[in-house]
Amino acid sequence: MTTYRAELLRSLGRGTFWFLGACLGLFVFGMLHAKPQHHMPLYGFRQASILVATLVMGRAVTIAAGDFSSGTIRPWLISTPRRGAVHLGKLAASLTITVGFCVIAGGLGFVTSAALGTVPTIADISSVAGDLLLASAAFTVFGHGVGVLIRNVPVALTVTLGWILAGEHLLAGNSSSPWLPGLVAQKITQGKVAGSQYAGALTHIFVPFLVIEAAALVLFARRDVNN
Amino acid sequence: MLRGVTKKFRATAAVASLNWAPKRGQVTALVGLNGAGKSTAMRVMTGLVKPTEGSVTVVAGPGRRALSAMIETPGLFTGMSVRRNLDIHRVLTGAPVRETDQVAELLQISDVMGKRVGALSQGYRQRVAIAVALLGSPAVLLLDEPTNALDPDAILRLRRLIREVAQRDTAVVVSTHQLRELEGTADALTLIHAGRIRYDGPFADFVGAPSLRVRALDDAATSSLAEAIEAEGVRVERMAGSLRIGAAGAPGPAGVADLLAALIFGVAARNGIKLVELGHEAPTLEEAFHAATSGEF
Repeated sequence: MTTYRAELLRSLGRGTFWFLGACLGLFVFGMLHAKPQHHMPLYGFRQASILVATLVMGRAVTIAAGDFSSGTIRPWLISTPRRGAVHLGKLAASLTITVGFCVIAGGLGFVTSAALGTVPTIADISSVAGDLLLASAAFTVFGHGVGVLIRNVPVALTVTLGWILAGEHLLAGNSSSPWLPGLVAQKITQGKVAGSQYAGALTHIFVPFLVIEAAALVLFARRDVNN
Repeated sequence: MLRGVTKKFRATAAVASLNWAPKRGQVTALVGLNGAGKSTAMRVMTGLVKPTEGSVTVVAGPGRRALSAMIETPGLFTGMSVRRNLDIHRVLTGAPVRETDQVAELLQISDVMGKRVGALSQGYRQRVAIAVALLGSPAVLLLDEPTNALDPDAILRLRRLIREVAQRDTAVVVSTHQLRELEGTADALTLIHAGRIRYDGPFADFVGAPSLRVRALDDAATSSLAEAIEAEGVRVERMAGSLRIGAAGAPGPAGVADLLAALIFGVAARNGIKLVELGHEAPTLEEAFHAATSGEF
């Protein structure tokens, strides 16, 4: 619990607020530039969602891998010898920030949409913010896991962004490939997954990312910290 | 605390079969050549590095954290203020809120609490890192080269602080290359060489007994004296016109030199040899260190 609280305190810094501001700006930009044929500002919100979820992933990667390259992981490990608790505490804090961020983004989406003349229903705004949350949470887990496994910010960023932005698209080719987690997350944020398909879609997103996270946990518990 | 600890990196053992327990209430200097295994021993103690064999145990009292360390570069959040760094680590260690200001005052960093760590000088950063390490009243405090980048005034204050911390029933271990830095501060000294402990005992005894320089009235008398002393089973080194008795740098109680001097006086008196010089030749810390690490120990 102390690792979670300390990580949360660390996350509530100026950098996080700048990041939040930038992401909210993307949402507003997306909503202001929603294609005319759709006429719904929330469509713009959905279009920006996958990009923002990717940025959230980048933040998780940077924090997790940066802890190793800057040596800031050391005080955590020295204070709490149980490495599993450190790993899960940090992941939980990252997910808490992601949840808080999605709630704020949902509120902003509602206000912006209303300001643009379309007051969304609670169901609509919950749906877009919820989809954003699912994608962002999955990407946070992925980013955190890869960051801990690779322990190097530039390499971990290259791997995660390369996978999400290029790798999956190359693998998928022209098929819809519903088993690739990043593409499934994109479908969800775009509102292309119907209610009955959610369970399958979430399995496709979370299972591979949780496997990576579990591998990261096991290796984190065993590997030496030399930097 | 360390019991039979061996740490291998591939086939190479960085430390081998270490049994070591720095004592509470004492400052222990941990010394050794570069690559001797000091850092590995410290990292094993902190849990950052897992031992290949052996175990590490630290027992803390109630309300205290077991162990704290400042190892190599300070692991601080450079983009955050000093206060924020201290607060994060205070939460992490479960220390009470008041400790943030207490350690800041102790390390004289209260005036930079609002500044970004990245904007501070190296010396200030070092002080912040030490303040972080003091949070939670650790039972064992490991400091790796703590005087790096500190000005002479700050070094003096740090020495006093180290002593104060030790007096609070804390085992303080200071790893350093600067032997003289800890003279007068450290109670004990542990020397690691090639991954093994070569000396672990009182700091004062590390330098050991001084050797004695002896000269008789003339060369012939000096030579006779040498033979008489050797007959007592004491090794004598013949110098130009004088003798050196006792191995400088060998660890042992300083009183050994006085016993040797008494023996020499006795031998000279029995053989009717008149002494014109009998003096101590105290080895320096560096000489003792050299002797210990070059196989002359």
